[in-house]
Amino acid sequence: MDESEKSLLQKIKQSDRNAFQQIFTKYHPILFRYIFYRTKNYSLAQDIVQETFLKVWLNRESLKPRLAFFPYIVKISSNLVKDHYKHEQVRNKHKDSIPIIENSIDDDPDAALDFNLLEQQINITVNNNLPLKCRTIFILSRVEGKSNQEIADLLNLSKKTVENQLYHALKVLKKKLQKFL
Amino acid sequence: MNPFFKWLRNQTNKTIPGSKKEKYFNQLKTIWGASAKTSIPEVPDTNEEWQRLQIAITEAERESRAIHVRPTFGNLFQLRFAYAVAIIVLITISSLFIYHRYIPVSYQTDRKEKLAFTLPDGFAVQLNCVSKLTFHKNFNKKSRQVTLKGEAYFNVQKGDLPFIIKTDVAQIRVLGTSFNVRARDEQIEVAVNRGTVGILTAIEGKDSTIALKEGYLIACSKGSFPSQPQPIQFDQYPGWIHGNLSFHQTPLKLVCQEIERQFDVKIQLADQQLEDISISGLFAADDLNHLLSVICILIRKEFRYENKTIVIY
Repeated sequence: MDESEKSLLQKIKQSDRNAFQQIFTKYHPILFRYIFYRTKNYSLAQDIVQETFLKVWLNRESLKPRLAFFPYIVKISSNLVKDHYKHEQVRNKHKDSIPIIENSIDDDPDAALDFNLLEQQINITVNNNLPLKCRTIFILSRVEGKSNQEIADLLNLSKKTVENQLYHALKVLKKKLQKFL
Repeated sequence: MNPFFKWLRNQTNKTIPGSKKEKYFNQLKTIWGASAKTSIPEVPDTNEEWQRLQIAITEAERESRAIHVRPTFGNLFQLRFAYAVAIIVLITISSLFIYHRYIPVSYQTDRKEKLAFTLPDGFAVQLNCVSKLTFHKNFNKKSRQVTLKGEAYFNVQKGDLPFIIKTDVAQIRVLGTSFNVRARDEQIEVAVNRGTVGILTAIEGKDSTIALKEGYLIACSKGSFPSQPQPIQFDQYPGWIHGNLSFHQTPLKLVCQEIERQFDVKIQLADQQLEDISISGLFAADDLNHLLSVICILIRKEFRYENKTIVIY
């Protein structure tokens, strides 16, 4: 984690809006793409990113400048995503809505060959079966196209950890998606 | 190229074609490739999003301030509790305060009963029969003020605070004297044995202050200003202090009332005209029969007992 981010966070802690804008500008696009990958819903992703940064500002006094900022906002936004789906589930329970068909592919073996379909299944598995850290690393690597070093910097991890986590993610995906391969 | 993918490709190349291991690494490579195919739409404009965030922050901060101001049920209860405690404490303190300050202390005498006591400032008061002297607990703190109904003899030393006697008819203000005050039946008589006394009467907003000197007495009835001071006729005035009764042109009616008080008897006048006969003189008050006979000689009448009532005829 670079020194400038640390000092920016220190300034945000002291209610510096300019520092907050710099952090926002830096992290807004990457967080949006991350949340979009998870929700596949443009306006929902937009709102969750907004709410995440709102929470950061309102709780600025509890910021920890020594810790990396990106995992912090990933954590906040992941909780928001979780909350959103929890509420949606409750709403759906009362709405008698049609359940979401996840594995409709079972009935159509030809569809399994569809590359886009595999991508969809990867998406579902990443969102549902990978732990937060592993998922974040996988998304940053495969969706953002970040290098392992960049990911290590962003998450304040070692390059080796990033590689191990990527390998772990692939193994989980391979196991879960056996019938699509 | 990602070093991890490089490693993955190297691993695949190392495996024997057609083997399980080759299949395994090929599958990982497929996932690796497919996972990058996700299309992410154009990210919303950062500046616009920043503006949106500013509005959200303003609203949230206003709301959080409003929440601080708005009392919840919990702190409303605490607030009410605090109010209740405050009120109880206030009432307790103020009632103690009122008690010490304003609860009146009174000395009262009945017929045939005389009382001598000292005021909180240490000065002596003698209370004649059927009289009541009232003062507040804070006597001598801010003022020396007593209320008198009946007759009392005061021996007051000069103090920092003026001594004030309130009666129905007038206020008597003194600095240090010995004097007698009789305040009965909306009449007042003040007689000064030593020093000077100021007598304040107020009728319909008009004040009158008369300075009464040593050896003089003054009489006044309610609703009128006092008459001119008259010299005290007797050495031992007021008589009741010395076991006597002294009258100075006093109507027989009032003389009888005084005897009734002193001896706890009932006196009846056979004729209404007798009421206005005026009597002057100093009478020994140790024996009722003797006193009655002296008075009857003066007015050339007689008295008799009818049951417990004395009839003068």
